Amino acid sequence: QQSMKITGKVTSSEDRTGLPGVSVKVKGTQVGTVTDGAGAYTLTAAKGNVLTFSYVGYDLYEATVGESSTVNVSLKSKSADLQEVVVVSYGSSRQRDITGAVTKVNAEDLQNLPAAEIGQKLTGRVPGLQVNQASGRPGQGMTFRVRGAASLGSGNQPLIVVDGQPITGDVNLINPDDIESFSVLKDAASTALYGSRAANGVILITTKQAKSGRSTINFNTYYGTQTVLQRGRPDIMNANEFATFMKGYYEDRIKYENWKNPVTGLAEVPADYQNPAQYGEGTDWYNELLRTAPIQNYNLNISSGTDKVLSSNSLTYFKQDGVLRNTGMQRFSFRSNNQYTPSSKVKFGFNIAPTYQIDNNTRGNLDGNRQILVGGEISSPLIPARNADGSYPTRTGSYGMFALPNFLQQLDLMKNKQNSLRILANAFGEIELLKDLRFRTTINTDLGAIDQNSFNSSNYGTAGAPGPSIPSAVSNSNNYTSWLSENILTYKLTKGDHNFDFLAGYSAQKYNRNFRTINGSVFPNDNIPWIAGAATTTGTTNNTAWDIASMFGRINYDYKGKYLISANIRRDGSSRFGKNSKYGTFPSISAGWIISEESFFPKSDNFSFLKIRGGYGKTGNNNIGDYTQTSLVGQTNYVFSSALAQGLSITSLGNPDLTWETSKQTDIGLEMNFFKNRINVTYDYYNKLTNGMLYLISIPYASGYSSIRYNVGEFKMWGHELSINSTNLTGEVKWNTGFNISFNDNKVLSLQDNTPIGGTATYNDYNRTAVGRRIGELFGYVFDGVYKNQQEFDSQPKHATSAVGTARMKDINGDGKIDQNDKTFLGNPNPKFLFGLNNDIRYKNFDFSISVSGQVGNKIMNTNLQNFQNLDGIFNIEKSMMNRWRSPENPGNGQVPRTLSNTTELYRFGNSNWVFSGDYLTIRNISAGYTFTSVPKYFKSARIYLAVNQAYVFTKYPGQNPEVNDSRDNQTTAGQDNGSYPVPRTISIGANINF
Amino acid sequence: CKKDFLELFPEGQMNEGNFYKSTVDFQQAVVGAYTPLRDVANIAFYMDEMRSDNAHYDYNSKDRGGLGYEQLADFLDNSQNGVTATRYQGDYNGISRTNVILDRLEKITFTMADADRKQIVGETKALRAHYYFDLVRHYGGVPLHLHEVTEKSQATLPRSTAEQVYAQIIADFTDALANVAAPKLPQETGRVTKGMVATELAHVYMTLKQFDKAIPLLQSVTTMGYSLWANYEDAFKNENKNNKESIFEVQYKDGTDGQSSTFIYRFIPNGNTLNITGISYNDTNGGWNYPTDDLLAAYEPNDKRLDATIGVIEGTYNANTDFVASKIVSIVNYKAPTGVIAKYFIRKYFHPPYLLANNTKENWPIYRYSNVLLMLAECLNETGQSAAALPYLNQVRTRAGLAATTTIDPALLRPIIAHERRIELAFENHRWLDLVRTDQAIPVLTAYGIKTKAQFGYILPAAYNVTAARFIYPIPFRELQLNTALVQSPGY
Repeated sequence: QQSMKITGKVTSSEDRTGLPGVSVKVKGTQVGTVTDGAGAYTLTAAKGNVLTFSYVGYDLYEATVGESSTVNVSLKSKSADLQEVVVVSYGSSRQRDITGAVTKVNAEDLQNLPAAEIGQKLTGRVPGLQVNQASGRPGQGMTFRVRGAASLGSGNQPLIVVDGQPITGDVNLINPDDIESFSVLKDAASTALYGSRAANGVILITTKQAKSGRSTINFNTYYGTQTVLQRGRPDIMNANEFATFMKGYYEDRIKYENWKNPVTGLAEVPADYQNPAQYGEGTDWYNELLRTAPIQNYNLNISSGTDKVLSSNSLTYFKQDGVLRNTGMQRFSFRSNNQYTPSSKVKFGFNIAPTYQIDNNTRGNLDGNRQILVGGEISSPLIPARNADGSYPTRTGSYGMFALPNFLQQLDLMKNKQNSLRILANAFGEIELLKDLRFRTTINTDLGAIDQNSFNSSNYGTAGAPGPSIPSAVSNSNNYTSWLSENILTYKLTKGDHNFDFLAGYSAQKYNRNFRTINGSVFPNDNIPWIAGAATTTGTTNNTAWDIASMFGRINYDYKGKYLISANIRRDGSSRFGKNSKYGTFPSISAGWIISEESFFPKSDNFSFLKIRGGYGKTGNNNIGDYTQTSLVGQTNYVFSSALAQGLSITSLGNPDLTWETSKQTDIGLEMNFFKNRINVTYDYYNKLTNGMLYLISIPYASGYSSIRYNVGEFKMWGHELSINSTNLTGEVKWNTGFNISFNDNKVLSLQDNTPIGGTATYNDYNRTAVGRRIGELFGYVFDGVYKNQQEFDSQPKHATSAVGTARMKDINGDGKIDQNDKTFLGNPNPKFLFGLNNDIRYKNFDFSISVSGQVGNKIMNTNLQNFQNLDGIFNIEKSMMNRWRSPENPGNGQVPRTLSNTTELYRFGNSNWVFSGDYLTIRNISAGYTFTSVPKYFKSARIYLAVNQAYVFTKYPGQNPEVNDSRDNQTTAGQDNGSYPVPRTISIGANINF
Repeated sequence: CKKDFLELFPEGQMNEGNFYKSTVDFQQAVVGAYTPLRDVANIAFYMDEMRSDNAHYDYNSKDRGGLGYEQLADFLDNSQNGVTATRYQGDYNGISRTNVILDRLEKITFTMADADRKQIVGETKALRAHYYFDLVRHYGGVPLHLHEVTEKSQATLPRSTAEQVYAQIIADFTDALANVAAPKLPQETGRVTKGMVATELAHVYMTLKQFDKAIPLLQSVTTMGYSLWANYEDAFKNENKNNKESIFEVQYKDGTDGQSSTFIYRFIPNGNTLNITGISYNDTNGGWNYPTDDLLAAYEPNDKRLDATIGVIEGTYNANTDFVASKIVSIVNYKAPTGVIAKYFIRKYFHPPYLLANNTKENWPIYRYSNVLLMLAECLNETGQSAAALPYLNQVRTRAGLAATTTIDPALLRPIIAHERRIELAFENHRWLDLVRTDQAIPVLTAYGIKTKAQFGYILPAAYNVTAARFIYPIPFRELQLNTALVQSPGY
């Protein structure tokens, strides 16, 4: 055979650009090379030789050398490929070998999504991962939940691990542009190596690394505008309607209560409301507070790799102005990932990623009950937002209304800035001690410094306390350090068909946070916003810390690549737990069987792969705050002889027996591929039993304390997850579809003394967790119309304040009277199922994608209706309140009570009127792009795209955001809408340019 | 890692691991046991004065958030009332702190001087008895916690009977009487003294209608050096705190160290306070404990106490029905000029100038010496010694500028003493409890309710249904939910 010189070019089938760094080998020989920066290669081979082209992220390609000395190859990028490498706990594994429930998401697929937070990118992508945009506050909106409600009050957020480092601070300070891939670990077998922090699942984030033999410069940018849709805005009265309502309100007070206007002493409707026809629409306060706001991002990544050095550096600037005026955030991030391989036995790495974020007013009191947004909605539409001369009217209540400041003025005046500096850094060294025996040591640090300064000027006011006020300022700052040292030994052993993989490790983590608060008050004027200008200054400093020390190990075994077993164990000790129970051990085991490898399995392209797997393990949760195991002695000062006397008392009751919350989880999974792996189906069933859930339970006041941190009760959670990925078309038109759906449910099996949690207070206590029911169900009265006439009133159960025409609640306990004992369960705040559907279509240089996600079966309690259905004549309210009871002859629609003084409170208690279905289907993202292949010199490729985010929300929920959950992470108070920051639609244009 | 890597204790706060190790620690713990007196005093007027015929409220139609307070006045309150829960919690916080001290005192490993131990035990037991006396009169038989709660299972005791609670109160006060120091008049610190213990124990006996047991205790108080100020208003002045007329009062001081009181801001009308307190502050939590016409009519002509007890704030309503105060004037012979809105307010706790907004140093009186004199007069009258009662009664009347009473018919003297208590102790949180103690609550407040409902159109027909069940307040709903061993008081 005659050797000849072969040349050629390797391109990507997607964008036809040259692929640098592709490994080209003559099969069965040592001959090989890598492609250069333009994708070109040269090597020597003979006719009939087989050339293999391999490149990370692309399908292996083989070409036989023929007559021609030119072999050009186009590589196809992988989709749902079994060979794909997935990052798992303390290592990585081929997808086909994984025995736990792990879903990988490539960040590349998500680049069209303009997002401040990584959570916005993951919504609807992973079965079993519920990512909701609970609020539209820039940079603070997302909540994660792996496999439903996992915990009571100790947090549902999964552990986030960035490049092997479990992070301690705000996950949203991680720049989404730096991320290469996510691995979502869901079952105990996958997460158990993270032991005491694994109960809520783990999200492993891998940041971008350079590729050997490839130098790239990428520039990615987008610019968009955000607007709040009309759908879901509050349905409150306009000026004419409100004046009409108020006119009737005073007519009724005159008629039924002998009311006289204290200003005039006359029994007549106040002048503001005598002639409603003079008012038109009036002021739409909600609209006044909103604006159209830009969002923009600029990201430059330079990466270069050789055999010995891999270096990737990126710089990102992100800015999102809020759709609420005078709010927004900016973030500057830098990341440098470097790896050195001086010899095949030794490897070092240094990574550093500083982030600096500026939050302008997004940490202020913008939303929530009677804060700026809701405060504006209940303000009088009769009052203009601005006076004719452009100044602000400082009060926005009409006659007899609650004392309300001008919330537009308050928003415009707001001065609340938070600057956060975060540095994630780590260094590692890895050495091959013997063949296949490797030792790796890493040192990681997570440093943060957060500085928040707010100033309330003399015009500052809140609902109930409008300005002017005495200027005041608060400065909060804290800095934390978290260091983590890990030492890991791994060993690979292959004996015939038996493959072993051993891992043993030791780690110690220490977290320390110092924090300070300084209050300044009595400023001479509004000119100095710093506390230096205050006449009175008070301040305090403190610190908190926790430590965790752990040992862990793993054995992976496979036989002939078709029988797979993995066993993990971790032992954690934590400073957070009582003396008697500092240590916890978390074992897990899982196994997989690739049935399609068996000889009895019919070889067929139609059914190309079948694996079943199952796992069982124990994980823990230690999110309880620091020092709760100890009873704390707090300052309880008093006065003797007119001077301060130092007093000290036990003010919080510790629990020396406090220990881990442990979950035992079983997972059974099925993976199937059809039609030459073009359709890939994964199904998982899980069942989790959590024991000793950590919760700050209320205890009777008679104890001298109000609560104690406790390991309470037993909870069962279970669910099904299904995902289908399909390569529908592969020709000219390429079309991929991904669909996933997950069903989650839970049940409370027992509680401490079976005492229910929550639902005991009169106001703002709208959930109850009780035995036999789901965690955090909505709780309150059942509204049953009004007593339309005397006969209804006389014959039906009544509240102490009831009268003809007032609200009637259902007498649930049947004792003939209505009181707090008639509160009952009003709905489950958790969805029955959630789903996501993603489609990508490519034709020539065009690409198009649409992603949709939604959930079904959850209930939302709109607690703002305590304001919008307030019948005391003090707020602007819902239009429907016009149909109220006025007299037996004019009873309204029978659903809205009268306004009689001292009878309206019952209607303001949490009740079934406030509960709505939270079903929704949201078109998350639609984007269309075009890739230019013939580009000017110095450019490799360029793509531009247009994207619409939050394109449309299909829901029956009348509020703005069906994903709302204002208590965020606290499952025992889930499902409430306190009128949170609206979630906008974003239309953006972007570009990805390679140099 | 070092062995103690996982042993972390808070550095910014004491904890049980490093406290209760010295006499000073225990003395600081005793200070902490006084603090809950304030939690109760801050809100007690809603339950003890506003529920009576002395006080109503300035109806605020613009903010119905105070409905719970109004319902206490109108006899429409239920077990979810925030005030009754706060008082219950405050009393038990105090009890818990005394229990911790008494339990841990048993286990000390250092030597404590006898005198120190006596004083600590005496003050602590007196405070525990005081808190239980407050509980039993307001909630009836309550769970009797006499030891520190260290785990949840100990927190769920059932109710004891009122008799059992009273027995414990008497035992604790009797111990305290043997241990605490005598008052060091003329000026006291504000701590528990023999004077306080004897007075309150006598009050306990009077509540149980054991007047004969109260008499020697009260007589002992008259020999401890206490006396009346020449002028009634002097008893409330800040410069006379804890002085010769003061048996026990809840302590406050102004400033930014968290020890201030805010009573006057609860009692004046809502709105800017500049023309009332001299400090511009937007008071949104005022208008409570509003003196009633019924009380005003009860003052005898020329009673000097009227001007010292009640004042008038003049002002107008603006177009938004916000009250704009203009000035304070005396109530004596007051007639409102036309075009002026006059509102009454309690003047006893009003001593400007003030330095900070919503921040005063006014103490709250629990027992004054004039109360001891009236208690003694009542006990003597109830035990057939009416003539002996007169000098004590008349000391109080004389100071008020009123003629001495000469009646010695016990049945006639009884309402005279009761009336004197109403006026002398107005707005000191005695009226409601006195009405209940003397079996007058139903007739007096039913009649008062009829008048009040006629006066104010906003009061519901169901209001002022005064029954024996309403003599105590309900056990807070939260407690019933968290402790299934509890049974609600009948009628709630």
